[in-house]
Amino acid sequence: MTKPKALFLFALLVGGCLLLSGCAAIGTATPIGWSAPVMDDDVIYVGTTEGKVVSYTLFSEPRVAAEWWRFPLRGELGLGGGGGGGGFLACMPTAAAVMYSTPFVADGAVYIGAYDGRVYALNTSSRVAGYSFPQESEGEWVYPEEDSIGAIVGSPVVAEGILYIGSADGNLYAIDIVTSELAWDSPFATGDDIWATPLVHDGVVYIGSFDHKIYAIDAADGTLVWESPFQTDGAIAATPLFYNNTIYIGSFDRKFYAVDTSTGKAKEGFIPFPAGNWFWGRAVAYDDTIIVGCVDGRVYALDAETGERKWSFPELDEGPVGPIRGDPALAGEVVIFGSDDGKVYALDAASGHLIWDYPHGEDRFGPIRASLYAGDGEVYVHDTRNHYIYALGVEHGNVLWSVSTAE
Amino acid sequence: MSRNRLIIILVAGALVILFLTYGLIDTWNLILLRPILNFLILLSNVFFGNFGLAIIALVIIVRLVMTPLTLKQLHSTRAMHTLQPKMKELQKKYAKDKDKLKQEIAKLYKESGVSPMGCLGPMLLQLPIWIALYRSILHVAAATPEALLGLSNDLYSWSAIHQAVPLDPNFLWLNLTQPDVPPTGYFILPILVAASMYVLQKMSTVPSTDPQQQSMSKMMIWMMPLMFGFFTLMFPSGLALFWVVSTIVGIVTQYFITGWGSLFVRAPAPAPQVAEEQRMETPEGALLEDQLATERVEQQERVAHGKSRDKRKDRRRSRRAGARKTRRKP
Repeated sequence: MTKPKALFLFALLVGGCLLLSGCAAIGTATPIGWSAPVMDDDVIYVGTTEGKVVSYTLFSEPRVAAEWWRFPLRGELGLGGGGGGGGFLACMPTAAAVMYSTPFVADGAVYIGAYDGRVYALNTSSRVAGYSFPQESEGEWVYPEEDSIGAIVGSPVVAEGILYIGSADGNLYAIDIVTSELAWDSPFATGDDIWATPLVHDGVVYIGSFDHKIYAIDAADGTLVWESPFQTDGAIAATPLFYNNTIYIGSFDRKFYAVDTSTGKAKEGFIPFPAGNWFWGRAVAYDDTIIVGCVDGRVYALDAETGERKWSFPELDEGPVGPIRGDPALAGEVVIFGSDDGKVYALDAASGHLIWDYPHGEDRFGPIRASLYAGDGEVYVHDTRNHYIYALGVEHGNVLWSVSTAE
Repeated sequence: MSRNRLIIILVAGALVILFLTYGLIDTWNLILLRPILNFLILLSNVFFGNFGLAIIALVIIVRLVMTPLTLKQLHSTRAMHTLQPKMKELQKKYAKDKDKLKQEIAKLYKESGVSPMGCLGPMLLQLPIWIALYRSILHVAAATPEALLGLSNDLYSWSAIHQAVPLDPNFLWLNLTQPDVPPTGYFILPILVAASMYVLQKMSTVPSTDPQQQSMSKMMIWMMPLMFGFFTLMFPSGLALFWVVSTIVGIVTQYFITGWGSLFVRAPAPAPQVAEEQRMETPEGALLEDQLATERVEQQERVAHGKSRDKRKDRRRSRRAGARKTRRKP
């Protein structure tokens, strides 16, 4: 082979390698979403990976879920179909209506934030009737009406007629759900992206930011409650847990903290618990024990006063399961986690013993990154890879029903 | 057994053991991707969280580390080119005896101290490192929540690394996780990538009178910049920044080896095939061709260094060479 020919083939080889591995890398960087299902009055609401908010009515006999209404977030606004693809060129990710947000349901309305930087308020009656969006007279709106705020990864929380939501532009927004206008003079600005869901308790909003800080903000006027925000050594993407006048929260610095809500300082006597990787999910409290999942593939149960480890699953001398990102569900004495290894684990909240896991054997769901929701003896799991919602029995982990979220 | 060969055998053996133990992808991650990725994050810490500066610094460091390989590749390419007249002579001489031709070519390589793998070998060795480098830039950019979650599994357990993540993607006018195209970008990086690659290609191409080689070189000069410019439209600008910086470092390195090369030199007109064949058929003709090739390389060096000769002299010499060539045409 002559030298120019060899060089030519080599150039083609390099280009091919770069294109293939580049597109593969971009493929993994395409947003998919991990919206979790919630139930309200026998109706389940979820954001699908196709960019739609879907509701399912649950029937008792037989136990089945039937689709009630389905709403494409961006399609109705003439912004394209939503689910991804397209962009400048075919393999580029776009700001499609991908949802990491879990819907918040209140008084017949469903609120959800989308990764494209918009917050939507949907009215159930209008969506069932299939009216055009937004039906302002029915309390429907989109915020902002034009353009967008930064990407939304956390979920909205509604309290006292105000919706609170964080954005990747570093601001915490408070939106009046009646007028769809800002409830504060201006959004509360933190030093970096907000990916966490706010916690509202007793007129105070608690929120973590990528600037390593936890803020306590007056829910009515948006002023800072703590003079010096609590700071960790890593970004914070987890939602805080309020328990016994204490905020419990984990950070990307691989530590789990307890913060005194009255002073904003580290809780006295609680030693920050070190784990093997990031904390991203919210903790749950059970009988003075704080139980939290970690991206290192373990669930830790900590003493609420001292931070001492009571148990972990799997035990430290065993190998971990897959990374745990989402929030757990607490159903009575059972705490249930979804893992990136495609399995759901139910543990005894007191001892950490495994009660059941599902699926069994080599079968797996897709990575479970969405938070779990427990209600009425069932736990709901959103498998975003296979586009299914599964209802597992809390007692035995058997599949009670399942429904495809794909159209 | 020479020391170099022993080292190669030991490295290859270690790689085979790693592949068998961990599998191909895990080995790749273990020995290339994870070290580069974590080093990139540490560098961004050094540059006060500036991801763009960290990419620039990393590319320069990797380029410096690979300088011996790059130099070897450049020298081999030049040496191979100077052998071309003799190669042609052998091809003509032994056109009907392929075995003898192979033997003679091997002999020529041996006598000249040139390895035919000298050009491609270093390039092939560098390829996995470059791919790991740009994969790690894409990985660290973590444009989505899923990507950030995936990144957590590849980080070393050093506090400084976990403190720095996620990195700030903003650098100058760029969001390093997005391509530099409208509505958020301005097409500046795709143009820079294509332009810098064109300059490098032009500098590193050695002019030839062989029409086939000329058309191939021409294609290479245009194909690579266009191909990478096109990729830049699709890939995050962090990667495009890496390509621009890497190419600029390549241009500087090339300048110190060959000067401006063919950048400001027009490609010589292709000699008619028949005349060339006639010329090569006689020993005098082959000798003349050899002299011309040597003259061309010397001319390139003069243009490159340009220290002792002014441009007018060079132009006069070029014109004289051109006139000589014209006179030789039938």
